[in-house]
Amino acid sequence: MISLKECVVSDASPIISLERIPKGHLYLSKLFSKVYVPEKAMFEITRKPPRTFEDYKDFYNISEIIEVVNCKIDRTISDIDTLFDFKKDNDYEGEAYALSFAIQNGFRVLLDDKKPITIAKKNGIKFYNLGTYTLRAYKKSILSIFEAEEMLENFKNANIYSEADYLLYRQILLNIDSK
Amino acid sequence: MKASDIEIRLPDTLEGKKAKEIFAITLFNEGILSKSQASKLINMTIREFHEILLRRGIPTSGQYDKETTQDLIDVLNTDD
Repeated sequence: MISLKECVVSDASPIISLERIPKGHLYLSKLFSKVYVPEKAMFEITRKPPRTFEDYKDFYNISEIIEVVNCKIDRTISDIDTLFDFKKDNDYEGEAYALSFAIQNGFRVLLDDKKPITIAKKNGIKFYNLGTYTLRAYKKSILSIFEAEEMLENFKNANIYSEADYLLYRQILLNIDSK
Repeated sequence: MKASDIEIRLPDTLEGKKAKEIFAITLFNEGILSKSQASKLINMTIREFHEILLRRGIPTSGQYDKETTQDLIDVLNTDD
């Protein structure tokens, strides 16, 4: 059977958020075939408490699904420079690398801050958060409606999204014709 | 919303560090600061700021404005 799951690039926040859900990291393998995480984002994930990536992936059982990638900032991305300002200690460094890797490889990207989302939109990079990708996974028959509902509810209960966003995503879910 | 539109009332007894934390959380939650900017304001890593948000029951994605919410939905609707 051909897997419909896709590769995605993720910034640190979606991965950190999943720590609040028991076995939350297993959602990654339910949703994606591979999650690429730029080194800079992985540094953010593992810096406090300090752990190695090896320890982190063993603890959350994500050896198969997450791959840390070493990539360069793609200066051809319009406004990419506004994401990191060395004087301001690199505000969105992880996102800048994630967007670069996404555009270089034609992957979708997981983000949750407004500014990187604006830049992804401007550059034609397809962007999702965990909630909207859950809806996509149902739309593409990667998840059943029950699995998608459970994920959205767990995202809300873990305070990853507001109640308003949860209600919106749930309403969209119920109106999707799964392919 | 602009930062100047926000009024934050704090008890007199609140220590400086806690007060700064509340400022940062409020500005993040109102969409004025990003997670990264808010965490730097209080000298924390994004991960530490994340944990504070979660402890206080504040969505870690912040409050999306209408445009960002619509952008996310538009991608979902148009992506094959």
